[in-house]
Amino acid sequence: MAMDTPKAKEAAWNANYGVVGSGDRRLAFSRQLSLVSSNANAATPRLARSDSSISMPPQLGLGAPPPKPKKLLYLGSRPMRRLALLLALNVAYSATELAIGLFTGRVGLVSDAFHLTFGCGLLTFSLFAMSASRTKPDNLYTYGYKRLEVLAAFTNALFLLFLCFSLAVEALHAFMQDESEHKHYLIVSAVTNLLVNLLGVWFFRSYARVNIVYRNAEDMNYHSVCLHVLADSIRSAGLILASWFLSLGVENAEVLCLGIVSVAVFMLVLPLFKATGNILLQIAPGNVPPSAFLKCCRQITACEDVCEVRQGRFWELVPGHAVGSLSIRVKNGADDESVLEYVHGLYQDLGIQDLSIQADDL
Amino acid sequence: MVCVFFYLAELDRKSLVAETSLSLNLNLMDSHNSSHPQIVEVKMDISPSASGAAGNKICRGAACDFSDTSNASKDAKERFASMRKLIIAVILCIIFMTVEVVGGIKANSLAILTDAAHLLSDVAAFAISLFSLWAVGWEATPQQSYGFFRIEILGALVSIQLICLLAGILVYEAVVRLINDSGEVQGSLMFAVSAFGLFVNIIMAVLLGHDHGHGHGHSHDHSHGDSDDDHSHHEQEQGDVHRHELSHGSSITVTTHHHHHSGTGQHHDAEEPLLKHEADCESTQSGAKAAKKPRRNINVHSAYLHVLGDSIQSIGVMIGGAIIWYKPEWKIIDLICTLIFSVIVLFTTIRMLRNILEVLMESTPREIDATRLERGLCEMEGVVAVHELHIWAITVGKVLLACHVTITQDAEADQILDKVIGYIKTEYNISHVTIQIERQ
Repeated sequence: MAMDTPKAKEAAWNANYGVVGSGDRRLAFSRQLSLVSSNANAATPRLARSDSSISMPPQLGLGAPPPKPKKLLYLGSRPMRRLALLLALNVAYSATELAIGLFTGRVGLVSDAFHLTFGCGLLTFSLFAMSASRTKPDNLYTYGYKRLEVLAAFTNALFLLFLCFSLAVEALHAFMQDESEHKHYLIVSAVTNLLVNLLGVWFFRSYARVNIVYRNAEDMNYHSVCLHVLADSIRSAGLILASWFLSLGVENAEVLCLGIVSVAVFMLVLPLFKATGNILLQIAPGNVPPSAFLKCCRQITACEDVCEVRQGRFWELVPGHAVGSLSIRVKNGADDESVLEYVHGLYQDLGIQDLSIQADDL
Repeated sequence: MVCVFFYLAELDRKSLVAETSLSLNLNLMDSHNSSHPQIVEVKMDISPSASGAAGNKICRGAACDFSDTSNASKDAKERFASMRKLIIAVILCIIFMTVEVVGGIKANSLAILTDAAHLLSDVAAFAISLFSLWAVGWEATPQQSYGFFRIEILGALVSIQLICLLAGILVYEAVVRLINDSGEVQGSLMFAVSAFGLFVNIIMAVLLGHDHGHGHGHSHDHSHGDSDDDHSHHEQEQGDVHRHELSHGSSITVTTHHHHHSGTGQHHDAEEPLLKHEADCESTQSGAKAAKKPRRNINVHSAYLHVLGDSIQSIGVMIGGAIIWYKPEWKIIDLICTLIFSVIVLFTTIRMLRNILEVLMESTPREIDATRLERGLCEMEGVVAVHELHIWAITVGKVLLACHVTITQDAEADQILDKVIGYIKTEYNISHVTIQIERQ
């Protein structure tokens, strides 16, 4: 198939390793081509920003699908539909669990239902972020709403950290109490939970990895949702395993399993937490090595009109959209326009589109 | 000469890092230019006529404020004061917590242990705030070119999430109490434990919230639950106490910042002309927190919110305990009570959460009117259009601006740059600006 060779080439190209397209092969194909052709066409920015995973840069013209019509309530994107379905399942499940727990007076079911409700709340926020981030920038939010996705990912990661902490506390509790709570009804609930969450993992299977190269804002959001359902399924699996070991007569099975689950979730979530935290802390763009910035500075100072470069600050709004500001001192009477164009060009090659350069004449 | 004083003041701040090159031919610096490895040797005579504005451009960069907080003595003093308060609060909390844990184990009561866990969450919130306060002082690195000021915003976000989580846990406990039919829950014990928790929380609240070091009438502050909540200069809302303060608030608070850095290096209580607004405001208001301390540190504030939320919930649990003690069959009221108080707690956090979200979304800060600024810029002569205007805040109180200004073909770029920067600085007090001048 024609798709095979580009994909093979793509696998060999390091920068694309870990690119996720949620199963959308057309994007993978176009991405590879854009990397090849950008050397010839310096005017095209290498990192094309796109609003959704479906829209493609018009220059490629590879029989790109017609742009989707804009709808008011944007539920068209595939991941969003899947997330909505997942959310509906979770809500239904936790509501039934809560109802059954309340009526039959079983505390375990109620606590599980509360757990799920928190999770549902977070998934709702992720879904809301997915739809709201498509809003165009306005006067108040001059950079647009893309950051919402990063925020949703951060919140998810934070919740997962809380979860692993609470699991550790539960393990400690079981260790100190030294009682084995062999509740059969909880097994049923755990199995159902596991199935629902595995379905979620299947929906977002291309994001089921710990370290992902984030290309745009949605990547972070999808990754966080996937990790969320993955952690939940690990937790359910741990509970099932614990009660199986208990029935086998293994001592302290619960402590062991809960401890392992807690550590596993922690290791799973930490990279995402660090990555989203870094974006929110306005760290320099991750895909540009620091030496590239220094090289740019040197190239600018080497320019004969420029005396000095000061205060180059760069940060990422969302992965893939870098913003910067720079201040240069230019000799008197020099042509500002050409210097500005030159500097803009230098930084565009690095992928930084939004740049404000203040040229002081002295 | 005025400009000499100005430069003396600039140098006095010791905020000349690698990026600023105030290489004057006036031998004012302690270390000479040639020996200072970081300063680029550009020997340029800075003419007196350009000194005022040029000095503004050169040294008034973000480097001054952002990467040298440790040299900003007032900021550091404020941070140390906040840290001291938080450390005292943490120590008190730990003491109370150990008391409760010991008592709970001896009495074998789950309720007391649960309350000890709540105090543990308080300690966690304080620890987060302390860490944020400490981390803010880190020097900026090339990777983090704006410094680490955002950490306090993230720390406050984590704190607030913790509050929400705890509110949820409390609701869960109330539901469990409802399910576990009689006998397991003792109303009297619940009441006593939560009363103790309330007492502890009130001590913390007093410690964190009231200790401004200058005696103000704070009764006014606490009667308005919502007006208490925020850095007063950021709320343009209906807090009646703060409305008058706010009209001067923005200029006061940011000016204080500004004036500190413009360099006498003294604390802002000095008699500087722009600060006489403060005297006005102070006389007209009772509970003006903004008068002496321009903004409540966001970390202390989030810790304070946490403690406030805890005390509100303790009150709720007390009421529930009293009801169960009095009439054990009315347990549903306990649940309703807990729900109501949890919702109240969530409401207290909403304002702060909104501020945090606005900063994290890189939105235009509330106290700055972007349309008015754009209009004001366009009205200048020589300016044709302004586009790509971005105003955003690093943290509450530190604002940056970047825009592209298109000017006519024959206009003087330098003059217009000076005028624009001066206008933004005087009108809106944003000192960290990057303006790209383009010709039509």
